[in-house]
Amino acid sequence: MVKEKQLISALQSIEQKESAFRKLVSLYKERLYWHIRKIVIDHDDTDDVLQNTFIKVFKNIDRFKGDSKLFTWMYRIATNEAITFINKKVKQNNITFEDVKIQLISRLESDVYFEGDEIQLQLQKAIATLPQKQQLVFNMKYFENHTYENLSEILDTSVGGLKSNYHLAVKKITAFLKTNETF
Amino acid sequence: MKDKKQNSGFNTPKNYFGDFEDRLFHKLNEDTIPKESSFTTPKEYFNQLDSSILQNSDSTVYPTKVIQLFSKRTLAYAITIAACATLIVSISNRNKTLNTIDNIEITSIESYIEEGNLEMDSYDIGSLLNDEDLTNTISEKEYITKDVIEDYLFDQIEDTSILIE
Repeated sequence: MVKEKQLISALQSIEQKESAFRKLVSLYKERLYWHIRKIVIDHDDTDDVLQNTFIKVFKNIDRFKGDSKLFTWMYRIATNEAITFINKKVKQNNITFEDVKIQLISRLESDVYFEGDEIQLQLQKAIATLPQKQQLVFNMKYFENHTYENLSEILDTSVGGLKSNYHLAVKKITAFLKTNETF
Repeated sequence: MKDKKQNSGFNTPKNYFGDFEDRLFHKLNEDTIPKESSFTTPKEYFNQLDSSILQNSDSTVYPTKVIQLFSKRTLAYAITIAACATLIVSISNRNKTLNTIDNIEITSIESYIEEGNLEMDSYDIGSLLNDEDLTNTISEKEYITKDVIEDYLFDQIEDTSILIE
């Protein structure tokens, strides 16, 4: 906590801002990358969204009041950026969020940066069929091991609501995998 | 917070995270370049632009006289002149006969030479003939003999003493 406070004050000072920012990027780039990647699926798109996330952090760090953890604040920005990116695709193609995800998943088989086996591919297809909120909750809980408390802060949802979302997601995914069992 | 990303099947290009900071700072520097070009327009320019364009392009307000490049009359004149010119050229060409050395009369050639128009000496003429022509024209047998020359000189020269010497 003390370290985070020091980092925040360094980020908000003119002299130390750049070096502190480099430290921040180095600390969180991988975790934020994987979080964004689960939402936007494609590597190049993830790279764009990740860069935009850090640029927003850099530009808005002076306004960060410390009401939440720095990490939670950054996660929130990353989630918003990724969802905005997908929503742009939804608008451009005039289809639903789930349809965009299904399109993206269908390209996974030929994606050089996807090395998953048949089970992992089926799992991604199953996640793509979920509503947006359930996708987010499932990815962050199942793959990234966030606590419900953390998730509650990041997604601004009650713990009860999150639990319900997660259980529904697991149920639907299990059903999907049973129906489409090819392994 | 350990995640299960290794189980999701997703991967990244080699050394992606290694040079991420460099690319991010490059983009950040780009973002510091002002987006605005600082060019401005006069007040209300764009509000008035539509009506200004429409006014200038409205041909019914300012009808423009269109002069045709080729009127029917001009075209008729041009065709007549071209036809006449072609006719004159073809007639004059028909009357012309080709001049060759064969159809020039010998007397005409002689008078041309006598009038001094042919400025050629024996060397010039010689240069026009090749060795074969020369041997065919002048043979040794046709040389004028010494006696003939003497007779000619005695007949023609009044003071013959120079010849005796």
